[in-house]
Parts: sequence; structure tokens; C-alpha cells
Amino acid sequence: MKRKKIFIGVMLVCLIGTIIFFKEKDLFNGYFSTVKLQFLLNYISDNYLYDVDEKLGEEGIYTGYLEALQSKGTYYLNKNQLKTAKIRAEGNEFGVGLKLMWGIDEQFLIVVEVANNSPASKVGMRVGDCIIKINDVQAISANGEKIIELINNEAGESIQYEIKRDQALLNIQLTPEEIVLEDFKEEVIEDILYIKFNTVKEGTSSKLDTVIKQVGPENCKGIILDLRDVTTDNIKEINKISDLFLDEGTAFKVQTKQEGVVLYTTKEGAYTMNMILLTNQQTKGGMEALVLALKERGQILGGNTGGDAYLSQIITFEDGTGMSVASGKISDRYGEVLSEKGIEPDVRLYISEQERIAIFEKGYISKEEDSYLREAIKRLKSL
Amino acid sequence: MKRKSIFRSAAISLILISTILFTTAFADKYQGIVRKLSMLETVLNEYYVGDVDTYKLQEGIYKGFVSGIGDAYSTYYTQQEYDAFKEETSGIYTGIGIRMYLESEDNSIVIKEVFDGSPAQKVGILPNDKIIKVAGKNVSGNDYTLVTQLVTGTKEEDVSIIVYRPSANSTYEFNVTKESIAYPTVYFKMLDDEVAYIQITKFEELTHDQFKEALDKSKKQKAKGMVLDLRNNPGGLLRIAKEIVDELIPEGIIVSTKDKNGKSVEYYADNKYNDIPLVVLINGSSASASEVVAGALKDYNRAKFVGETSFGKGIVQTIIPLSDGSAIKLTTSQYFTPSGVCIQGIGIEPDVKVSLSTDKLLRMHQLKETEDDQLQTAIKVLKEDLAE
Repeated sequence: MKRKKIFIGVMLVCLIGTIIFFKEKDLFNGYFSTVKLQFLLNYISDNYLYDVDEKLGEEGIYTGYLEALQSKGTYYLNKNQLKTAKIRAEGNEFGVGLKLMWGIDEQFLIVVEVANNSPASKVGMRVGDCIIKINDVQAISANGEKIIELINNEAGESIQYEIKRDQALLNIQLTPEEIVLEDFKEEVIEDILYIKFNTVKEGTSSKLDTVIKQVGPENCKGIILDLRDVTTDNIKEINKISDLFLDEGTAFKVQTKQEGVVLYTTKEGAYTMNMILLTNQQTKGGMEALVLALKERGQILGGNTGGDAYLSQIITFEDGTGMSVASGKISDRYGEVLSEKGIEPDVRLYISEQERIAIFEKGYISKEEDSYLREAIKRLKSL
Repeated sequence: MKRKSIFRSAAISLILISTILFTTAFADKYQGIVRKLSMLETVLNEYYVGDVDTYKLQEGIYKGFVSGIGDAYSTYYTQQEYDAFKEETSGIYTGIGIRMYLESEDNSIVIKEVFDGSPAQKVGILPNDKIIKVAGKNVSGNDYTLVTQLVTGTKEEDVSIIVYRPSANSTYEFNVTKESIAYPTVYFKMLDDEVAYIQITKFEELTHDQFKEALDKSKKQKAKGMVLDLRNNPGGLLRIAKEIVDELIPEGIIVSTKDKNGKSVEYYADNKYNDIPLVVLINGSSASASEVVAGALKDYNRAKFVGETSFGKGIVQTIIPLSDGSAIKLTTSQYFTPSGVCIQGIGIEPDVKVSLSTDKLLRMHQLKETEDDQLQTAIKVLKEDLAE
């Protein structure tokens, strides 16, 4: 009898202990099953062909957690990525200044853009150069993961590029750095002011204002804002750009959790010249807010915009990592949220086969070959 | 009696205590992770303007953990994804039986192929028809994924489709019932009286049987030589690739694999094989199981190779299903061609290198036989062989 009591006593202590423990230690935490995660870890370390860096798996957890939202503007940033993301948020770039694309058969990379005043432009790299190897890794899609890691080079190391230009092979060493990007390129083509946007940052609107004043709006048959392949989260600057062309009113609205619906308004006084906007699938985010603001002011030519209604912002954590979070939802001045299909153009244009061949063979389309631009000029001249 | 009892209770306590100690160590390891996840969650609660699905977030954790090891081929499958994967590799799927492609010229969805005996064929859908409306919804190239979902699926249900037929310059409406059909992965035709053409698009469960059928047809039609087209074949089941090689080479090793502990497995061919003269077409998108086939045929000098260097995937993945219906796919071994080479990141070189011009690559889907320079070269090489 006494023995039984001792036995029951011991059992009870153990049971209570276990319950307290499970509660405190979050074995069944609200995020994942530790048992399942431990199984995956064991299985991977026992069977994965290569060595496992456990730290990477941990970072992967945060990446995967946020990726599961399937929100383009919401993602985890490790220490190096955070640094780069902050530079990008200011409208600049961290890197060697190359924009690359896979060659059509994915057996090399082709340079499609070289940023001015970048490490790549300083050593004379050109659009159309083919990259064969990076740090002795063949630039073929079978090595895709490794190649992308080397290109992103978030740690900022010096990297060796093997390049094929015409028939010559060149070896070039490039170290990434912060690159101050130009806001846009301007040019007057047949009395039309052509503005090709590159990025949006603080001051872009006043630079644009200066350029228009210099050219003289009365001398212009019209203005073309080329918004293809540009995205931004800098909604304040977008608002200022729209103000150049709109009279008093609401340009667009942004819905946030912190402040509710925010109205972005414009003041009296605007340039009144005819306007054409060029858009494509890569016109995204803040740039789409600009299209919404100006769609009744000018004509939209090209393809649907990207349909990315979300504006994101960067949050920094104490441990030096961070995240980007989609914190604003764009709608037009009437309150209609930007649709996933994007903004329909007034005149739909398609890239010709010739242009597609040019991109794959030379890495770019010249202004003379650019059918969207040609169409825009033709239309403005006939007005 | 008394001593035994005390002994027993002591033993049970010991077990319980060690369980607690074990789980403590276990939980501690994850405490930092949980703390950080709660930080991320706080940010989402305060700022995020989209919708949150907690189940998906949890699955995202496992997915991210597996992807976090930094291997493009290792992934975690949710239950839903794993079910879809199993169906795909079984070679049997439910759908209307068409293959489509995206025509970038006018951003439309065009039917490339209508499978023999499929529901789509029965109602009269033709290749080159453009899909303009599915289930009452107007569609363009932007809806490619959606259209794929609508014309396939696990249930045998009806779907209404409106197509535009350029040749007749008119639209047609069809009501098609999805059915279970075998997905053709092998195509056979005679290029002329002598030369048979077999294309393998993927290596799935039924691919070996379909390949044998094609070999029989070529025999019946008295083909003297054969072009085997492995271009744009991303691979699939290693086991099936091995069986196909077995049809073509004499007795000997086909391929061997080696895992991280150096344990190796070898696969052998039997002495029965088809000795028809062979030219194999490969390109940069011939990967994995395609390269197992190409590697073996090359090492046995069984075929000449025309085209471009193959993709270069020399590693093998294993899939382990988990008790909750999910699964993990992990890179577990390398494979070696009969001569002992691992082609990872290198690929297989053709004997005769022929590239297609950019404009031809861009309209690969509609390329005519006569325009296909790689195929024409393969035929030429084969004819030269036959003449010898």
C-alpha cells in the first residue's frame, strides 16, 4: 500500500513536470512541429549528397515562412541582403552595374545593361558582351543556383568574369560597390521630349521639372514617359511627378494598416503638352500608381502593366537582419484597387519578332528598332 | 516483492525524466527560431496588407528549411503538391488531352497538339486552334496557368471551351468531358522510307512501354536507321531511362550511382537489344535522365550525337513520403556514365555541333522539319552511316 503511494506520487510529479515543461518550452509552438522539423534535419544530414550548413537551413525557415504568403513585396532579408535592399529602396544599386539575361539556349549570359559610373562601365564592359564563366563556374543553366549567387554577390567580394566579345576571350575582375543610378535619360526626338525612366529617387520630380523647363514646353509637340521595366516603392516622389502634369485633385490612393486610406493629392498648375506613357509587364508597383494618376491625362501605349498593387517597406531587426513587407495597396483616385491583370493600355502593342531577335542577339533594342517608341512618336506628331 | 516494486517505479521515473531532459534539449534548440518567427509575425500583423493563411505559413517553414540547404533540386512537397507530382509522373492524368503553348506574338494560348483518342479529339478540337474562352471566362496568354488548371484536374467533369481557328477565320464552341488518359511521352514517325524518328519528351512510368511500341513500329516499317530526339527533354525517372538504354545496348553496365557514404549501385543491361543504326539529338535542355541515356549510348559508341552540349545534371534525387502526406525530395547521389564520368555542370558534347538561329529557337514550336537544321544534320549523318 505504502509502496503504491510512493509509486503514484513519483508518477504525478513526473506528469506535472512534463506538462509544465511542454507549456514553457513551446514544443508545440504556434509556428511548426518541432518533431517534423527535427525529422527533416536528421534526414537531410544523413542523406544529402553534399555537406549541410545548418545556419542556411535556419535562414531558410524565415525565408520560407514569408515566401508562403506569395506576396512579391514580402520577403526575409539576411544581413547582406538588408544592406542591398536599403540601397535599392533609395533608388540606387549595389553591385558591379551589370544587368544580365540568359542567352536563348541558356549556355551563357548576355549583358543587357551597363550602369554608368559602375565598376563594369569603368573597365569598359559593353551591352552584348557574353559571360562564359564566373569565378571559374561555367555560366550555364545547370549551374544556375551557383551562378545567381555569384551574380547577386551579397557579401560584396571581388569576382572574376570570363567574357566573350566578338571572338576574343577576356578576363575581368569586378568588385561590387554602391552605384548611384541616373533617374532617367532625356532626349528630344523630332520635337518630342522622350524621357526613359531608369529609377525613382528623392529629387526625380524636380530634375524632370528642370529638364522640361530647359527644353521649353511650348517648343514640344509632346512628351513620352517611358515607364517600361521600372518599379519603385517611393510613392511620395511618384506623387510629385504626377503633380507636374495634373491640376488640383487626387492623383491616387494608398491603403495601409497604420494610417488607413492615404490620399495623394496634386496642386494647381501643370504642364499641358500632349502625353504618351509607354508600359509593359515590368511596369510595376509605384510606377503603376503613376499610370493610374495619368491615365486620363495621356494615352497609354504598350502592354498591360504588371498588376502589382503593393508597395513595400523595409523593417530592420535588432540582430542585423530584416524583412520587406507589403504595407500599402494602391488604388486609383476613385478608390478602385489596381487589379492583378494590371492597367490596360489604350493602344495595345506587341514586340515584333525582329525586336525579340535583337534582344537575344545584341542584348538590347536600339531606339530606331523600338516599335513602341516609333508608334508613340508617330501618334504625337499627328496630333 | 517489495524490492521489485521500488525497482520498477525507479525505472519508470528514470525513463520519464530522461524523456523530459531530451525534449528540453530539443525545444531549446528551436527557441531562437520561434522567437524570430514571432518577430516576423508581429511585423505582418502591424503592416502587411494582404491575406494570411496560417496553414500555408507553416508549410512554408518546412519548404524554406529544405530549400535553405541551397540545392535547386531539393524541395519539400506539401500534401497537395506531392499528390500532383505523383499523378504527373504516373503518366496518366485527367484532362481533355491537349498540349498548349504561349504565342508571344499576340499573347495567345495556342493548341500545339491534340492527343490520339482524347476527349478533345473526339469533339473536334484541332492543333493551331487558339483558346479564347474557358468555362465562361475570356482568356489571354496572361491566363496560361489558369487555363492549364481548367483543362486538367482530378475530377472527370465538363468544361466549355471556345476556340478561334485561324484557318477558317471563325470561332467554335466545344463542351468537353475530362477523362483519364495516358500522356504520350514518345512520338514516332517515319521521316522517309529508311529513317525512323523517335522523340522522347520525358521519362515517366509509361515511357518505356511507349518506347517499345515505337521500336516495334519502326521494325514493322522496315526502318534502316533511327533518329532519337532527346532535345528539350528535362529527364524524369532514372529507372525508366535505364530500361530504355537496355533496349539499345548489349550486355554491360548502363549507369552507376554513388551516395554520400560512397555506397554505389550499378545497373546492368541484358544481352537482348535492338541494333538499328542510331543518331541522337541533344541540346542544352536535354537533362538528367536524358543524359543517362545519352551518356550510355555514347560510351558504348552505340550512336552519333548531333546538336548542342547537354544540360549537365549528374545528380539524382530521392523522394521520401512523410506520414502526413507531405514529402521531401533530396539530392542523395551522383550518377556515373559507363566510363565512370559524372557530367554534373559539364554535360555531354555532341559529335557534330549544330545550333539553331535565334529566330528559329523563338518559334521552336512551329518549326517545320525542313527548317530544323539539327534534325536535317542528324538525317545526313545517319544516311552517311547507312551508306558505309
